[in-house]
Amino acid sequence: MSWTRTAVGMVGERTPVDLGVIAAWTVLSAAWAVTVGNAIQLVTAVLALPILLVFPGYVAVAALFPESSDPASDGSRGDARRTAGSSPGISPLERAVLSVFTSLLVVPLAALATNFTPWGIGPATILFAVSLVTLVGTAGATVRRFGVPPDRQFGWAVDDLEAAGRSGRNPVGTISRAMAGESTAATALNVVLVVVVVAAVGSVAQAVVLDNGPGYTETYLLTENESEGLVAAGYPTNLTAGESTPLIVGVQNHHSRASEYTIVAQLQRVESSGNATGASSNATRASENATEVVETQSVGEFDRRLAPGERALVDHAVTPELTGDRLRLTYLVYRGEPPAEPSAANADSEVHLWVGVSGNESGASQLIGASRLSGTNTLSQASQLSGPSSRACQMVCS
Amino acid sequence: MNPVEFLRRHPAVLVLVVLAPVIAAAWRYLPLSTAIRAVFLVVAFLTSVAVFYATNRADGGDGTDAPEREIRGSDWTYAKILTIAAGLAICATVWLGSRAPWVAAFLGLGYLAVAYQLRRDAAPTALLYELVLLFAVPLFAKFLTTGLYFGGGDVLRHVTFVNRMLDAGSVLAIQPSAYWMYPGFHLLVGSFAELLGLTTYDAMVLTGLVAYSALVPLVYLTVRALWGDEAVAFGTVIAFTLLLVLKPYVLAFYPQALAVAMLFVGVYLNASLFTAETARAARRYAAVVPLLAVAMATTHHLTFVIALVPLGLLLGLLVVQRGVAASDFRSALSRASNVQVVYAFPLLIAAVVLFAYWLYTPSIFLTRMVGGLVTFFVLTTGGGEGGGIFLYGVGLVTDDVRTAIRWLYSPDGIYYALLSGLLLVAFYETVQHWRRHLDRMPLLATGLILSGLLLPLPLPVPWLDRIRLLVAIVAVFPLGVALSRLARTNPRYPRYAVGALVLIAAGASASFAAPVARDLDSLHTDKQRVQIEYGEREYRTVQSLSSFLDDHAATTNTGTQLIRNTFLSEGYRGSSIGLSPEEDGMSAAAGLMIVREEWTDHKLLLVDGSQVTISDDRFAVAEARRNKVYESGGTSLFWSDSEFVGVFGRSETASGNATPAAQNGTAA
Repeated sequence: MSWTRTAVGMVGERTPVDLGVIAAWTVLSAAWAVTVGNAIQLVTAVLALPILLVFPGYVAVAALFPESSDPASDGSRGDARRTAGSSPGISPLERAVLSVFTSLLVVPLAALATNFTPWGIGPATILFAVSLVTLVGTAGATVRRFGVPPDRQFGWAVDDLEAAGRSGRNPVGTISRAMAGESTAATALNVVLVVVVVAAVGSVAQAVVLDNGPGYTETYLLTENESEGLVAAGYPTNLTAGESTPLIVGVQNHHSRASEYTIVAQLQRVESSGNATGASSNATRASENATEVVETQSVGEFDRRLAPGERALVDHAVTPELTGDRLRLTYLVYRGEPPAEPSAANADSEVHLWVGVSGNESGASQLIGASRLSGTNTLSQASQLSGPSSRACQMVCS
Repeated sequence: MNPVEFLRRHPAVLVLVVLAPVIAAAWRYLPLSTAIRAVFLVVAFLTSVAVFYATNRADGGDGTDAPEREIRGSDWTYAKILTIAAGLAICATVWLGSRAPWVAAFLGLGYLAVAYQLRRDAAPTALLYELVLLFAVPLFAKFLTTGLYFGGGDVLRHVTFVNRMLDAGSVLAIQPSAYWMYPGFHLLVGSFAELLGLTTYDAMVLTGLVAYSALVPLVYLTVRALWGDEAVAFGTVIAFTLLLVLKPYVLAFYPQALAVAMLFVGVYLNASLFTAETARAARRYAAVVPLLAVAMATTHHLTFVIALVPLGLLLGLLVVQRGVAASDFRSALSRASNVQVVYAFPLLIAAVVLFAYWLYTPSIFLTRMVGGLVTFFVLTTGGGEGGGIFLYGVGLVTDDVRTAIRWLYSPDGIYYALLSGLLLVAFYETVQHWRRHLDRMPLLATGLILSGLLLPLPLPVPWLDRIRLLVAIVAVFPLGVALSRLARTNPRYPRYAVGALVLIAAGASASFAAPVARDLDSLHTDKQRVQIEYGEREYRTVQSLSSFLDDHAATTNTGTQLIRNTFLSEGYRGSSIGLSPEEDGMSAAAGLMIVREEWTDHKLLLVDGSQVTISDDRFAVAEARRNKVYESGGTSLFWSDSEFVGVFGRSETASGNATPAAQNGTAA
């Protein structure tokens, strides 16, 4: 007694193997989903794909067309213009196409049915509904197939497989014979085909799953509000020289590798050579509205190492020394060491606030820590005086 | 030879008589640039003449009907070679980050192989497989090289709907959109996303790609059933792979695209019913119809209403045909007479299901329909105000002669010339071999008449993209008849190469024309265009911004339709306020205002319907002079404690002086 007969001996020789495989696959998938779930996503997806794309339609079509196609058909062409008295079965191609489209019709309707259950629409209920439809369809298709004479049934039965095994017409035997009869060129073509397909699948998997494209740095300013916490609102617009104003700068690493970040904070006096609002009536004149930094004060420099996805919130105090109605408080963010002359043009990321700074009545020197960009008397004390102050802290958050 | 016989053998003369005065009038009355674009019709005519005579029978094209050709064989060598080429094209696309040269090479090789096999013995399944590859690979390569393709913005809305539905576990979560009554698409995509562990967008692309790729053999089966001729069947399948109008919606898959795929299935079922020889066979096809009807009723509404136009035209032409060729029509009907009652019953059920469901949702469906018709009427008659056009730092783009000439040899110009040429060949073929196509004449005539809508039009037509999707269903048939001449040509006939070259050029241009490859800037002439896709990095920066605002801001000025839709799809919970474009610059309420570097590369569609274009200089100035409190990639937030006024400076075009329709009023 062969293994196939042993396995399904109770249900007879004409047991439809294709429908049996579908039923087993469906039950196995449901069991997998219940016990393992999405822990191994790839296996779950492989199990679920035919349940969504083929099985519901296949069993429906198998129930509608239990007969095999006309033997005269080559099995590939739609034999719609059948002659009278020919088999009402459909060609394998037609069966395959109908299976896919019927599945695409059945799946949303099965999912819709779950909307009216107490559990609602969800992965488990959708899988259960589609599986139920498939199993009911499988039962119906089996009954219908048994109603057709064995020699006209579509599909594969147990005794068909046994006969195929005895005669060597199984898939392995077929492939072996085909390869044995092939020319060297044909064999080489097949080898190249397999290599290229594997390479393409690997490339696609890498592109879709692993590669998220080039990274970027997210930089922002926040203030702290007693009632709402950290908010992107209420930024300071007027500061007083020599007095500290708290501000939080946030940096998040969206690159695929850990990075050393340097945040350079500067208070800049800026001159423009054109219309300040950019309200030029001529497009070409807009380019004249360039800004030029003529004086700068270092407000602080902060170093943070951030893993991919990690962010740092740097709570610091801004203590201006420059005064003026419209100064620019700029935060320049660099991955790695900043250049000798940091600017918005060479920063990886940059944010800024325009502030007015009024003089301190105590008459503290307003130019300590400030330097003319064009001059050579850059004072290194700047960062010490107004850098990470005693109030400064750091928060690193994942 | 009498004149009728002469015209039957040389139908191009008929077209020349009509086309010559049209071209002359175009040069006389249309602006020069528009008239130059119309030259594609001349190219189309010359192409059609070349293809027609090149694919005439080798015996001199005497107009006699060639025997139907069976394409048989079992050779899969070309299919294997094409699979290797497809794999290499995909690998190169992934590794090198660009797709144009590799996909073009693949398409050239592929259509050459198909043209070669059409006149030789080839395995039909192998040929169909190759055509599936030719259809799907360029689209898949595009998926790999673009982050998120959202077309006109509907994709993002539907991603939002699917996410909401899955989060809440109920279709009611799609409300207030009317799609909660038509959730078929969202349920299908949601099922794929949930069970395969894909993102909603990836699931959308996968279902679109599967559904439309499966249409390739379905179209073959349909035409086999209708014509019983493999040459026409393969010609129609090739035509399907060439139809530019369908391709964008495979990736930007949305309910109407699914509904159109269902209509293709409906056409197939009807074709199978009509040609079934026994009631038993017909009954089985008919059993699928109610299932299809229920799925259609719960997927989309407008599609099936618009579909009444081609259906009405088809039925009208059937009536005319019945009068003109009563005997032929009776013979056609008699073949199906024994199954009519059988299939009429499920069709009746289908109609009842559709109308019952639409009557069940009257407040939504009827309101939408009436609203849509009013919009259509208002836009068509030019009564709509629409939003204004605001140009900050750039001039109004006009269609100059140089651009028009460039358009002629761009992928768009080549595609439309070849598409028009093939439609003309279909007309010639129908005239020359009218007896062969008599039974299907109403279908061919419907396709030929409506396929004019697939060509570039000098005037904006509301809902044109939606209408074109439906026209594609009937347009494939005349195109298939035109391309079937390739398969009928004598294999030893050297002029056959003309048809093959046209096929290759059409195949390549169809995958690189603007509607399907807007991301390939250098290939296209329309520069100021609306953004229709995000790059991978760009999309992640917008996601980061959405997340940031969710955490740290209750309100923001989202401004553009795109950002609003993206934020919706990301589940942004804060309030969104629109931007107001004005002559003196854009204004917005105090607080945060989203700006993006991409704005300088695209025409912005604001929530209020206005169109805004911003120059690089104006953007740079605004970025330097406003408070910029956030940046991720090219996405930033401006902040102001008082109302934003005059952002980006003065507009070059006053509001209302130009309308979107006027700006879009160029061909193509």
